[in-house]
Amino acid sequence: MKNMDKGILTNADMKLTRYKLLYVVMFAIMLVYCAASFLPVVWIMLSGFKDVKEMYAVPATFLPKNFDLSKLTRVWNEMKFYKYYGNTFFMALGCVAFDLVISGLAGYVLSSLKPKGTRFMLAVIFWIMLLPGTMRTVPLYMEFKSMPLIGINLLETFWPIWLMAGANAFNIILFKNFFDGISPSLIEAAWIDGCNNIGIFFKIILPLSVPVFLVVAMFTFNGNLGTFFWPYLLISDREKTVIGVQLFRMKTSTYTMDYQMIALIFSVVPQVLIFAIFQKQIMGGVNIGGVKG
Amino acid sequence: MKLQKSKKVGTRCSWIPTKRDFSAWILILPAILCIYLFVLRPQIMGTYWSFFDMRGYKVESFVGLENYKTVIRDTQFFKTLWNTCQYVLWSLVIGFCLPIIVAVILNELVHMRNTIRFCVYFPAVLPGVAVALLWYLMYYPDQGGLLNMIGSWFGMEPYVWLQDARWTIAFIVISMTWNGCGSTAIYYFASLQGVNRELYEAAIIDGAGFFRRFFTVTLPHISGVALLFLVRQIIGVFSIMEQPMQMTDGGPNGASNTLGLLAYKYGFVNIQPQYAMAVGVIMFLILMVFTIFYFRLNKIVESKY
Amino acid sequence: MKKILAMLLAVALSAGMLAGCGGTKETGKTADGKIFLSIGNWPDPDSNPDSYKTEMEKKEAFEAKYPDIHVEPDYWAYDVQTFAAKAEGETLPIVYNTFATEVKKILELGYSADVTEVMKQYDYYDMISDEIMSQISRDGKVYMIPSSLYSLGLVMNMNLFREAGLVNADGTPMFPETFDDVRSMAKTITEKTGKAGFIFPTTGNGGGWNFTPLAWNFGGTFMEETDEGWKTTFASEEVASALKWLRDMKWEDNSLPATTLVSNDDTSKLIGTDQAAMSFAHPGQVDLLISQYGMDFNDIAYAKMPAGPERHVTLVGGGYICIAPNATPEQIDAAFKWLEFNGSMPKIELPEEIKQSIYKDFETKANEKRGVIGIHDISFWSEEEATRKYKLELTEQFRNIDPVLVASYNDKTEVELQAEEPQKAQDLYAVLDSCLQEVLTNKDADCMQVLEKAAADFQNNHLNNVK
Repeated sequence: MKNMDKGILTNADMKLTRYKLLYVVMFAIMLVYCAASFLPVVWIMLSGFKDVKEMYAVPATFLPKNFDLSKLTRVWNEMKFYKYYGNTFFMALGCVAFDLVISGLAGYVLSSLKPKGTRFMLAVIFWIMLLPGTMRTVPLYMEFKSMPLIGINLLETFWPIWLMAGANAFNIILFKNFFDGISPSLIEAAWIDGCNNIGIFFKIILPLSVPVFLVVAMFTFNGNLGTFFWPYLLISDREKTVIGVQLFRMKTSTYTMDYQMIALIFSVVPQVLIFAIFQKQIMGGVNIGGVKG
Repeated sequence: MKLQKSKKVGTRCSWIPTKRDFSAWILILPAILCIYLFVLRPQIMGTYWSFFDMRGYKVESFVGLENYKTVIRDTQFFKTLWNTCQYVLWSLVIGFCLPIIVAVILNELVHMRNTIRFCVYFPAVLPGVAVALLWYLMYYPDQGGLLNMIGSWFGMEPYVWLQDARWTIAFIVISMTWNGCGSTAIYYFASLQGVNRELYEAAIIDGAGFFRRFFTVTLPHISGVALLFLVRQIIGVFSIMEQPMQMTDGGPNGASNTLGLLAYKYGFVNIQPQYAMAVGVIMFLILMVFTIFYFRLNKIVESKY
Repeated sequence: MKKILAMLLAVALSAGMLAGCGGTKETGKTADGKIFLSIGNWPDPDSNPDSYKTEMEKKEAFEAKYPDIHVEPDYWAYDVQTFAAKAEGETLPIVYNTFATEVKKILELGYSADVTEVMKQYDYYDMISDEIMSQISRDGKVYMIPSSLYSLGLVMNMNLFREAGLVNADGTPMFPETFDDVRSMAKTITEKTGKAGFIFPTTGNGGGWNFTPLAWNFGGTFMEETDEGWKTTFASEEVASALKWLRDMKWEDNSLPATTLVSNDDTSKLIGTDQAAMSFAHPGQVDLLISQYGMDFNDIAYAKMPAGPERHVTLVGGGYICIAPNATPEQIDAAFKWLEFNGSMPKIELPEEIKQSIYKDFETKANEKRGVIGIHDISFWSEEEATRKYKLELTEQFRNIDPVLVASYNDKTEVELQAEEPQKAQDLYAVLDSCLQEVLTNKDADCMQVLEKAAADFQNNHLNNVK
C-alpha cells in the first residue's frame, strides 16, 4: 500500500473494507473517465484511414477493414498541410513574442515599479479580463480595417492577431503575481547602484523568472495553434490560412468525412506532442498564476 | 494624458510622477496601448456606433434607439436570449461539479497517479475548433458517428443527437465540458493539495467518515475558488459563439443559436453591423451585472483566505 | 533620457513596420508602370495543372498583345463567408465572379465598380435583355457583366438507380417526370438499397434556395407587393403541401437520410459517395461529382425539374462578373479587354484568337475531367451571337457524357423559368431553412403552423424593413 498523505482517506481508513471498496469505485470511475478522454481521438485516428463508403457501412465497425496509410501522405500533399503548419506556427510564434514582451513588461511595471496609477491600471485589467471578446467583434473589425490614428488596413495580415495577443490581461496578472515573489530589496539595491528600470528588468527580473516565461510562452504558443475566429474573419488569402480555419472550411465545404478526420489528426499533432514532452511544466504551470488571478 | 504635463522632473509634489515613474510608464505603454485599442476603444465605440445607421461598415446617420428596437423586435431575439441562458444552465449542471469530483478523486488515488492525471488533462490541449469537429463527427446521426456506432453494438437505433432540438444545447455543452474539464480539475487539484492536514485529523477524531470529512473540510477549502470559477463560467458561457457556429450553425431551427452567434451573423454574414453592435451592448449590460457580482465575491474570498 | 528616446524609437519603428504594407492599390499600376489586373478564380496549379497551364498561356498571349497590362493570377473564388471581409479590406481581385443570389447585396453595399460607360463603349450595353438589366443596374448604372445562366435540375446517382432496378430495359435511366415519381422512386431506392432516395439541404440558406422552386411547382408564392408595401404570402395551403411532400418522404417513406442538417455541398458529398440517389442541383454541382468525388460519367444522370401538381417551373440562377469597386478607369478597360480575349463576352463576329482561347478551355476541361461536357445552358445574350454558337459546337465536339443521361435536362422547353424571389431573398432562405429543419427533425411538427410562424417572422423581421 502506498502512502496516502494528500487525500481525505488516510492509511488507517484503508484497512476498512468499505473504504477499500470506495477506493476501488473511485479508481474505476477515473479509468472510465480516462477512456472517455481518449476514445474519441483513437476513433478518429482509426476511422480516418477507412474508405469513405466503409464509414457509412451497416453494421459499423470500430477497426477499419482497409487500413489505408497512403491517405496520410495524400491528404498532406493534396491539401498542402505543411503550408498550414507553417502559417500556424508563424502566427503562434508572433503571438508569443508580442505577449511575452508586452505582458512581461507590464507585469514587471505593475509588480516592481508601481508607478502612480498602478492601482487604477490593475482594476482596469481585472475588469477587462472578465469581458469576453464576443461582443466587440464588429468594432474591432472596423478598427483593423482602418487602424485609429494611423489609418492602416490590417486585414489579410497576422498583425491584428499578434497585437491582440499583447493585450492579454490574464498573462499580465500572471507575470505580476510571479514577480511579486521577487524581493523588492533586490530591485531597490539595483536602483541605488545606478541601474535604470529596463536594466533591472534584464539583470534582476529576467534571470529569476526564466521558468515562468517559458511556461507562458508554451501556453500562448499552444493556445494560439488552434486559434480560429479572428484568422477566419480577417484572412481569406489561402496562402495565409491557418489550421483551425482550414479545419472549419473543410467541414463546410466539399471534403468527405475521411479527409476531415485525417485533417483533424494533423491539426492536433503539434499540441499533443508539446503536451507529451512538457507535461510536467504544463500541469505545473497551471499553478503558477494561482487561482485568484 | 497626465504624463505630458509633467516635464518638471524631481519636484516634491506627490501627485507629479517622478522620473522613475515616467520611465515605468514608458515600459507599460505598449500594454496600455494594446488594451486601449483592442479592448476599451472597441467597447466604447461599439456602444457609440450602435446608435447610428450604417451602410456596409461606414457610419452614416444618428438614429437613436432604432437599432435596438429592430433587434429586440426580431422574433428570434428573445428565443436566442433564452437559448444563451440555457447554455449557461446546462454548463452549470454538467460542467461545474464534474471538475470538482474529478479533482477530489484524483487527490485520493495513489495508483497510476501520473498516468491518470495525464489522461484527465489530455482533452484540454486540443484546440476548440478540433474538438467541435471531433464531436460533430461523433454525434453524426447515422452509423458513421461514434456514439451511434457504440449504440448499435447494444442494439440501439441510430439517434439524431445534435438534430434533436430539445437537447442540442446540452450536447454542445457536453463537448465543451469534455474539452475544458481537465484543466479546471487540475486547478482544483492544486488547491486541494493545500488543505490543512490537521483539519482532517481533527475530523477523524470526531469520528467523521469520508463524506462528512469531504463536506466539512474539503468543500469549504475549495469553495472560494469554486465560487470564482462559477461566475467566470457563467460569463464565459454567456458569450459563447464559436461552438454553435462550428457544430450546428445555430440549428436546428435556431435551437442552439446564441447572442454571440446572432451578433456575428448580423455583423459579418448579413452585413448589418449596427445591429451586431446593439446586440453586443445588450450582452455587455447583462454581463456587467455578473462582473460586479464577481468583484464583490472576489473581495469576500480574498479576505477569507 | 537617451534610453527613453531609444524606446520611443522602437515603438515608432514597430508602427512603421505596420505602415510598410501599403502598395500599388491607389495608382492601379505595377512598379514598372503597367496596368495591374488581378483575375479571380484562377485555377490551382496543384489540383488543376492543365487548366493552370492553359490559363497561364492565355495570360502570356494576352500580355503579348497588350504589353501595357500585367495580369496577376488570384486564386480566390467567390465565397459568401469571406467576401465581405475582402471587399471591405479592398483585397478583392480586379475581376471577380459571383452568382445571382449575391447580386443584390453587392449592389446595395457598392462592392462592384460602375461599368456603364465601358459597356457602351464596347457595344454590350444594348445586348442585355431588360430583365437582366434591371437586376444588375441601379439608378441607370450597370455594375455587373452577366456571364452565364443556368436552371435548377435534378441530379441522379445511377449506381443506386441501377441497384434499385429503376432503369429501362436498354439500361437508360428512368427520369422522374413529376414530384409523385420522385417520391415513389426515392421510396423504392431506399427499400432496395438502404440508402437515401432523396436528399434536400436545410442549412446555409441552401434549403430555402431549393425550396422556393419546389413550392412554386405546388402553386405556392412567397411575397407580393401591395399598397402597404411587401407582404408575405407563403403561409398558404400550396406551400404547405410542398413542405408536406418533403415531410412525408422523411417520416412516412423514410427515404431522406438520417442526417438532416446538411448544406448544399453536403448533398453533393452524399450523392458523390453513393449515400443518396437524388437531389436538386445546378450544373456546377454536377461537375463537382466528377471533379471532387471521382464519379464516373456513366453513373450520373441529370434530369429537368419534375412537374408539380400546379405548375412546371424551375429556378434560374446566373453567374456574373464584377469589377472591384476601387479599380481605376484604366483597370476597368483592361478588365474588359481580358474578358473579350477570354471569350467571356458575346461577339457577333468571333476573331480567331478568341476562338483559340475558348477551344483551349474546352480541351482542358475535357482532359482534366473537370466536369460534364454536354449539358446545354440557356443564353441571355441575343440569339445571333457567335460566341454561343461556337461554344455549342465545341460542346458537341468534346462531349464526355452519353447524351441519353442528360437528355431530360437538355430538353426543357416546356419548363417555365423563374428568377429568385424579389425581396430579401437570402433572409427568406434562412427563414425557410429553419422551417425545413423543424419539419424534418420533429416528426410531430405541423407544416401549416410552422409556415404561419415563419411567415409572421419574415414579415416582421425582414419585409417590414424593405424601404
